[in-house]
Amino acid sequence: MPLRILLLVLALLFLCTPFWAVGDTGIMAGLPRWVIYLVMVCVFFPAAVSFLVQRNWEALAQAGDSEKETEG
Amino acid sequence: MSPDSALVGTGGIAVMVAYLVALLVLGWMGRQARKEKSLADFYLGGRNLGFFVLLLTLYATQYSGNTLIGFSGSAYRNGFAFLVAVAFMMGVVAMQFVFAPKLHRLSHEHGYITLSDFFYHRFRSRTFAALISISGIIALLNYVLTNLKAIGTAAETATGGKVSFAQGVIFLSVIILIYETLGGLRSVAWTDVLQGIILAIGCLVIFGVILFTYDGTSGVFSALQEKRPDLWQPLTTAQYKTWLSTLLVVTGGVAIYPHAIQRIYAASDSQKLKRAYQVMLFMPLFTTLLMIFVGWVGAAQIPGLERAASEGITMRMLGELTARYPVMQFVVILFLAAVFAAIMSTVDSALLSISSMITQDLYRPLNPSMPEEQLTRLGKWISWGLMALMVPLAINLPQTIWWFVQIKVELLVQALPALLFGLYWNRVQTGPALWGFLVGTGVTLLFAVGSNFSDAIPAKPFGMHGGLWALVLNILIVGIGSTVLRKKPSNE
Repeated sequence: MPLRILLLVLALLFLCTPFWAVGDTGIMAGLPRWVIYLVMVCVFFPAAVSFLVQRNWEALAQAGDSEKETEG
Repeated sequence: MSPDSALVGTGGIAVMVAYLVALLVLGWMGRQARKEKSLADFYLGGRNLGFFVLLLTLYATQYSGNTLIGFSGSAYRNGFAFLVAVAFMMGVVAMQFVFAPKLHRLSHEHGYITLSDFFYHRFRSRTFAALISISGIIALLNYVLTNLKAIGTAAETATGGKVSFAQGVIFLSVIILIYETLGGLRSVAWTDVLQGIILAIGCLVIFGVILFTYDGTSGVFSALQEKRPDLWQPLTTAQYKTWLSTLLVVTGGVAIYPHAIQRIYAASDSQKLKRAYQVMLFMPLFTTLLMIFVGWVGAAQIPGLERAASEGITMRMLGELTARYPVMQFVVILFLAAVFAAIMSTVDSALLSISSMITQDLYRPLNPSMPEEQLTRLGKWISWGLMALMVPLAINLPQTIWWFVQIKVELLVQALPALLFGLYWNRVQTGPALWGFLVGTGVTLLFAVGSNFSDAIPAKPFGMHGGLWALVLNILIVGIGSTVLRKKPSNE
């Protein structure tokens, strides 16, 4: 479960990079694409992570019981 | 610098003095609210921070003077590519969400004071815990030094040289030390409430005033397209790699700042911490993005500034604004108050955290029978001693040494694999976790230091931060090492 959450967060972070407009494609040469990017990073990302927080906080707090397995 | 060039008059200085007095009063109130003379009370506010204080202390601590000064300057120079700052400020909170719920629970169950307490409890290695502390102390000392330098510059600029750089550093350091040693984290968190409110209002007002003055967003974007079309260009592959690498390294490194971890411990309950993080996720929208926008406006209105001049772009625009509309003087005062608030809230938190790591992680194991009251007193003396050491350094060291600051997050992020594996993976072993951390730190230093002395060693191999490659190596060592050791029969 924690691994799934970590991967989801990383995937969301990756989604919120302008990977779709690298190089000379010209896709991001104008204002509207940057506005789309801003909406992705400023609205979609925090809203999605906030949803994850709401859904998984308690489960993460109780996940694993690592200390019993510790070996020096 | 002539006194005539002062950015604020007598009224502005009176506001600043009132602000500093308010910090001291809050510090004194923090002392009065003390419940007991224990380390948890002094360094974690008795683990009793409620939602409002928690939110604003997280906010004021995450946003330093760099947000107000450095971010606008970077946006001025790099244009839209600097939007990565919005992403990594949100990424930091998202990453903390992955480990905060469990770390908060464990800290309350086992009485952790510092980040290293978790490492000692989980890995049973005093060496590992001490190394984590030393890494954190080195990173935070850098943070304190750069912020002290920034506060001296701000004081000198604001008063037109009536208060010199050195006087500014010394005077404001003493103020920080007084309120911090009065009530520890409780005082620091309460002052963070005031500083956080000033910071948030400052960003909103400055953004609003500049937007209004320069014909709104459409006026700004039209001017940008005309005067700085280069800022609109799509990223090259190399720029994108740097973007991605910056995002990952800063997200992981800042998430694990020792003073940020201590705020997780200090939350009174898990639900309040959860709500604080949910709000924090949106704060870059109202802080980082606004200051980046101010930098873009500067690029459109005052193009052609060199790097050093571009760092002062916000101040320059506000100066022009008040020259045109003297009634807007209050915005300059608000901006300076926000700068002081952002810097002081960072320095006090970092200093308190360093003091706790030296006291709890490095000194206490050598003298385990020392009563907590004496340890707390020792911690206060350590704060004063550290500041006595750092103030002369901040005043005298040349700017050229600050290259080291750039790698602080690359160093800090090397503790993240052991933290995450330690929290959630039962099979992780102490040896691989320790070696992963050591190799990661060593490789980070190799690239960072080596690139300063030899052209053969790149600071960013294949366009990615050295610290990121080190992190990958670190994760592989912890993961593969723990798996292999676990499979080995114990009698071999």
